[in-house]
Amino acid sequence: MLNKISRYVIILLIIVVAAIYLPNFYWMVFQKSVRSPSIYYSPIKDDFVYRQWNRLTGSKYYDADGNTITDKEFRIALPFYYYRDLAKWGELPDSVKTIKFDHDELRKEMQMLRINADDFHDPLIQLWPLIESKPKYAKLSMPNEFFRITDRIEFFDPDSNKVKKEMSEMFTNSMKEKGFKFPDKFIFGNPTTRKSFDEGYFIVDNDNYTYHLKKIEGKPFCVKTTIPRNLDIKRIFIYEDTRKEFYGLLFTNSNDVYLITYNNYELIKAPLEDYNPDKMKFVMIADPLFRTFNFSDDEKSTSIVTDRNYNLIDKFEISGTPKENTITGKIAKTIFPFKIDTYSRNTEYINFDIKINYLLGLIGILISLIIFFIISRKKQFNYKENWFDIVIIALTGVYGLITVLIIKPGYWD
Amino acid sequence: MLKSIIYKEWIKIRWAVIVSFLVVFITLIYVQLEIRHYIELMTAFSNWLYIIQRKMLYYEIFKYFPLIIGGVISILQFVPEMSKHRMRLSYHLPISEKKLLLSMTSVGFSLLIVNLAIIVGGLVGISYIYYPAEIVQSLLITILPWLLGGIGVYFLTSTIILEPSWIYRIILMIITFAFMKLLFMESGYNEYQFSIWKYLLIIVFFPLMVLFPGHRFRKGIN
Repeated sequence: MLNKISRYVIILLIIVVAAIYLPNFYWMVFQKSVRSPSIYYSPIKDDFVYRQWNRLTGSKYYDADGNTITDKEFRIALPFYYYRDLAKWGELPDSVKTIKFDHDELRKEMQMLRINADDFHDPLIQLWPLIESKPKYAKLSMPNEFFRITDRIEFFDPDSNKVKKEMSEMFTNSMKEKGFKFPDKFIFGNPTTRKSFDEGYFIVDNDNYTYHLKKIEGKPFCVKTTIPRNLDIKRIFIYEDTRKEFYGLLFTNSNDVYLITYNNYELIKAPLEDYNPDKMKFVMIADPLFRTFNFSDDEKSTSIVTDRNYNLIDKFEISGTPKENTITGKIAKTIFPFKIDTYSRNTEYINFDIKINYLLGLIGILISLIIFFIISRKKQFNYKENWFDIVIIALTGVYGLITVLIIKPGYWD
Repeated sequence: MLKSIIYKEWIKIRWAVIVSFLVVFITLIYVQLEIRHYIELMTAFSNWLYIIQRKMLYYEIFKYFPLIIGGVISILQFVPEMSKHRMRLSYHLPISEKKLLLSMTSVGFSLLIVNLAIIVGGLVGISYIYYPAEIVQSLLITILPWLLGGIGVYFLTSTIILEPSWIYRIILMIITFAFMKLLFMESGYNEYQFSIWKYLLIIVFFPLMVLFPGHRFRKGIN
């Protein structure tokens, strides 16, 4: 009995390895490069234009109706992005709509944020530096301590690896005064000195209220924000931008996106539909006239453009075919009844995700079983002793078939 | 009977075990010196920041230690048995071949575990001097797949050596390589946090693997 189990352990291992590697080999051979289009809203055409990249043809440019336009036409249609090229060609307009064209002004008015799915799934040690928000010098500099939040806020001195008692008490008291309920649920910040100023952290307390914490001249600055507690916050990304329109973007678990404005933390909801942060790339672009939200996965690329007050102006969608839905994808699903994914571009974590291809996979399993019965007849396979081999093939299809045929049953006692 | 089997296994691997203890010990000292050196050069704050934000694994030198130790112990235990078919004699001992194989591997496995425990204990001890609990925790989660790799490779190598047929051996070598690769994909910390239990669930069965080649050997398959 144990000997049989031993054989099945080896078989299990081979099936696992095969289910990870074989589908990858298949796609290495058959995958065609497909990239999502980059969509922009043109203030000249009052419509969308987009660029599609392809390995064979390179970049191609289209207007919203799908007509090809030239590279130059594309750039001229987007003066806010390509003003340097336009200046070189002498094509720079004096003004676009109501906006007078001025390089320096323009640069201040532009902001671009990119958030990928793996930004939501990235392991992070929960120790944070609290940067001085009113620095003595022109540049921001890193502090000398990290904080953590438990039943109080604790500042750690890396040199001694000990808690700084005085500072911790001062900040804990200040937060408690404002009503902060320890411990926290989330800490969100942008702890880098490569930005022009610092807005500290947004911290969700145990009652789901969001607090804004900064360090100003070494003293705590803590505000209980007006962000509603029932939002079910997934993540807040802070972007200190000189435009000072919003602190950052707030993503909820119901896939809504809000901007946290400088107007007393008032939230503005971005008019997005069908956005899935766990799977899609997200880009937000602010230019002098519009706000553009682009989000895409293999299936669909969507662009939503609003005015400066976030009122919807227009929406544009391009569908793509994800590799799973192509003919090669369907053949893969038939050959491999399931696969195990260890890598995904949507997460920084390493997975072990079993993906089952139900209907098409069953066809593959049936074929595997038929092949097995044909071969095993010739080889006088002992069904009574090794019935579990058939169960394995019925569950794992081609992987089981190959493995059972290679790792043959022994002459059991 | 069992006692003498355990003693025999100990004789085969004792030098390797002692040497690996020494190497682990020296490497632990090296890791500590390196941390001190970093802190001296770039300040403790930057060192922490590097670990937290840039995801530097200051213990990465140990990445392949479990793998190498597991492999070496297995080779020293089973290669001498397989050369000149000595194993045939062992299989004739008045003890079932299953018990024989399982007691042999449990000796090697126990010493491997002791070795891994020293690595983990040493790293945790050193880390607590310089780092807060969050970083020590992430160390434990991060090295777990490497430790499992060492355990896995011990049983897989033993299976490969005990296997009488070369075709099976080559297949098992490829599988071993492919499976081990899966446990060493980390480039930052905590990357296996949510999936490691699934890998563990497979490796838990590995100790039984050595029985099948033993059975095939006794049945005279070449």
